[in-house]
Amino acid sequence: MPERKILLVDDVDYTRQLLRNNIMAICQSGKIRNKNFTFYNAGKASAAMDLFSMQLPGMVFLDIELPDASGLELLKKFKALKPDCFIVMVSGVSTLDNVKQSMADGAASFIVKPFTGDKILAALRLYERYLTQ
Amino acid sequence: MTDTIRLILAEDDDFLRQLLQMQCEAHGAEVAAVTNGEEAVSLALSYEYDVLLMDIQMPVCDGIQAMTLLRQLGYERPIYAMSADNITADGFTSVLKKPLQETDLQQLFQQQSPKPSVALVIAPELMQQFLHSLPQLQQQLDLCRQQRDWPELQRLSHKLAGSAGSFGYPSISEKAKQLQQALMQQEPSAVIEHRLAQLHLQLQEVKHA
Repeated sequence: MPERKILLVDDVDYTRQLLRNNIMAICQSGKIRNKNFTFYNAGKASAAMDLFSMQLPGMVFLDIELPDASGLELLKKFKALKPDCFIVMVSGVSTLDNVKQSMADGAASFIVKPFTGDKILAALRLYERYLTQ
Repeated sequence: MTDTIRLILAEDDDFLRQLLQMQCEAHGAEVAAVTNGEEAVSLALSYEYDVLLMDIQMPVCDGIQAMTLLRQLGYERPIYAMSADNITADGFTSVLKKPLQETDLQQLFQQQSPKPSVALVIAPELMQQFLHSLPQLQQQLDLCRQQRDWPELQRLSHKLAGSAGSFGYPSISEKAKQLQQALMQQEPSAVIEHRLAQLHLQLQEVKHA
């Protein structure tokens, strides 16, 4: 199983850690096949852009509300750089417009905060399905 | 885990919705009733419900659009459509013909079981980190109030609403959301101060727990 890179973008440090811990817990539970992820973290859009350009991750969890830019703008830039990147938008605001706009801009899925194990698992399963297509 | 099926019922006709809700509750289901596809999508994405029973023709977002969006987003739980017309739409678990018969609901509930939930893992040190951040956050909130920095207050309350919910403090999340909404709607200062005071109270309770 090849190593997969995941970029976590959220300005709250412990939220990124929470997400990472839960992705790892789901991997270890055997609920998804891939167990070999490498994580990269960014708290700001600028740092996320740098990391993305360097690492070209396969999957990104991207918070929409970042301190220095909108996650939606970043989404477009990521998709331009790596069109096959699987991007999960994360937001506390779950209006249909928000979800539809994200999908139209190339997001693969959308998680409405607060995080739960089921939401994270659904995103990871969708990513696995995407990889096997 | 309880045996109760948690069901989302999306139907815009008031009379029909109430009737179906009573019928589903008679089968022991816990029902969240909504009137359009947008509300159905929003509730489904909370992953707190086992099954979605949805009308096709609804305002704002119809049943097919709602189902298509949910499936695109990786939602794998059962979605049943209700329609008087003969429709075939890939993605629905099944299409029930309107008017629904009691036997339709019997079959639906026989096929359901509560979905096992994947618990969120919260490491103790991470929980500590979250709890330790709260006093500093309270100071930041107060500073925003003193300086009338409403955009920053909105940003902080938004962040808190998301993180507190994830860390198992829905009451803080709720108060933070109410403050955020008051700020977004540009409510008078008195309302904002009141919402902020309520949030502080909630934060104090957690601190002393």
